[in-house]
Amino acid sequence: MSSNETPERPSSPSEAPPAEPVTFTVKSSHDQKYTISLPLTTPVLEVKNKLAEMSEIPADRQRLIYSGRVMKDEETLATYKIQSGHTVHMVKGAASNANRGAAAGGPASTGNVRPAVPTNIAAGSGNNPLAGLTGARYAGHVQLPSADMFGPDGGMGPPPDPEQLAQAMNNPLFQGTMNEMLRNPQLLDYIIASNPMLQQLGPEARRLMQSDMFRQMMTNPDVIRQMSQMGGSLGGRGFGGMGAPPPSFPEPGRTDTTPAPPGGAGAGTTASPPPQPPFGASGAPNPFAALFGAPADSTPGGQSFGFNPEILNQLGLGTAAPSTGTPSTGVPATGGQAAPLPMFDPAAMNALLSAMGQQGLGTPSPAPADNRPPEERYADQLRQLNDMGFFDFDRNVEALRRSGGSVQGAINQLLG
Amino acid sequence: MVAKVPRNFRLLEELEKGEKGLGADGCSYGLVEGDDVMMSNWNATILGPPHSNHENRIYSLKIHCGNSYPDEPPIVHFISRINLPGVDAQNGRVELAKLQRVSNWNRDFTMERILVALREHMAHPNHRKLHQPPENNTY
Repeated sequence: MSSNETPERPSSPSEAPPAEPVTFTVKSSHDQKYTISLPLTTPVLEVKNKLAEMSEIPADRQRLIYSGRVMKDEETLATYKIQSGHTVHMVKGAASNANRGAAAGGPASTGNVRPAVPTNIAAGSGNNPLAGLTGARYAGHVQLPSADMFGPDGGMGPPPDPEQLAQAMNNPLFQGTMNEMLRNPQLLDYIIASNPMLQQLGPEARRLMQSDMFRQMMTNPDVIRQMSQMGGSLGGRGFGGMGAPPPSFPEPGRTDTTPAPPGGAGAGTTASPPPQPPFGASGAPNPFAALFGAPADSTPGGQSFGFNPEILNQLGLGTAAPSTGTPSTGVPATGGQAAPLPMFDPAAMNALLSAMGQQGLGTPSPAPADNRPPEERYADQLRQLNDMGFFDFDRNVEALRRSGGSVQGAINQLLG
Repeated sequence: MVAKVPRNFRLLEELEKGEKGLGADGCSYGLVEGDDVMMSNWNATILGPPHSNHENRIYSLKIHCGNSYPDEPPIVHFISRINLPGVDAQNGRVELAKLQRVSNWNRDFTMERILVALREHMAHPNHRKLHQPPENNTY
């Protein structure tokens, strides 16, 4: 067997490092290359500092890999025996490693670690928690609502009546969508991590959103109908209603047998978020605060549930049922009505509601956003791609669309 | 018939490719000891694939190329702890038979091919969301 012969190795670097500098290439993830000439005695940290000037990636975020090894700051180039003409890979790491371990958790990790924001959301889909739903993974699955769901006058009309809501809830597609969303740990992570109130609740909020009860509640048409009626009864005060005065709303004391009028502050569209969480820990006055404040276990018969249709609305309600207006009243409902629904920790519920309200309203909503031209919608991402040397507009847009707006994902597409 | 490339020529080729950074994205490999004439022991890194729990992580591996490489596949271990089917949870040993692209070993296959296959394996829809141990844990 002749396969063990040893061909001539290239000049062995094992002798004392030569004084003259080696010239090597640093390749970063976007096909950018930097050529550096440094003596072998240079510490790696110094290389990173030099690269920071050239690449604008701060030294502490650079990770350098050479020949299958991560280069440590305190070592010198000689440790890694870099030779002229060789290539070092530079990877841009996250700013801090502190939270990353906890980010890995799926639904199983509802324990005491607070999940960090998923890094790929940070990577480019901006602050839009629903961006993931626009990605290729959900193509054809979630239909984003079109503009007509806001009605002929762009959402100034009355909200859909409870029957329409209920109809939407009966739609299996919609229910599936809702379940899908609540099952998506990234979205939950994001909602929790981006809202200080939910963060304070810690694992509680996560458990709540992931619980079957909550999901059932979100997808049970009867509950929704009931809540709509309650919402009508509650009028526009707080609860995600856009803060318009409730001139003609019925008294809070109305019973659920009274047909709910299509009340609600019609002024709201998803594009005009409320200045603060209208309902929740901020203590906005509302007639039912006392009910929500009741300890969970003291009212076994009393049911407390909450729900903000805005988020449903954004998730495809508009396409599931032809609504004529935006349901601008958030309708969390309380009270001891007949529905045999479990009780949640009121504080958690409150925070969750306002968080969802904020998420649904406070960020540029995907529904109108999708009607914007791509150069506007992906302006930031496109600029980044251009900076990285991807100049083909059509391809960039296509890649961004497939990746749901994530620059990282788009790059993978473009390079793939 | 094409002549078989002897082990060490083949490894030299791979070494050069690794050092010059000509290899695939997200993978890097090189000799543990630069003066190892037998070129048996290698380091490798895999950059965690995006859109997975591995994103932004760098996984270190060690590869041992026996005397009969490339007729026989190398022995691959993860050094960084990873939760991945086909990787022994006790010692990080990679079962190449579980990796689709390299399960049927062929002497034309390279270490890079294994690394790429592993990276794809990590990005597989069934695996990418697996709970991962904290970073910087090693076997």
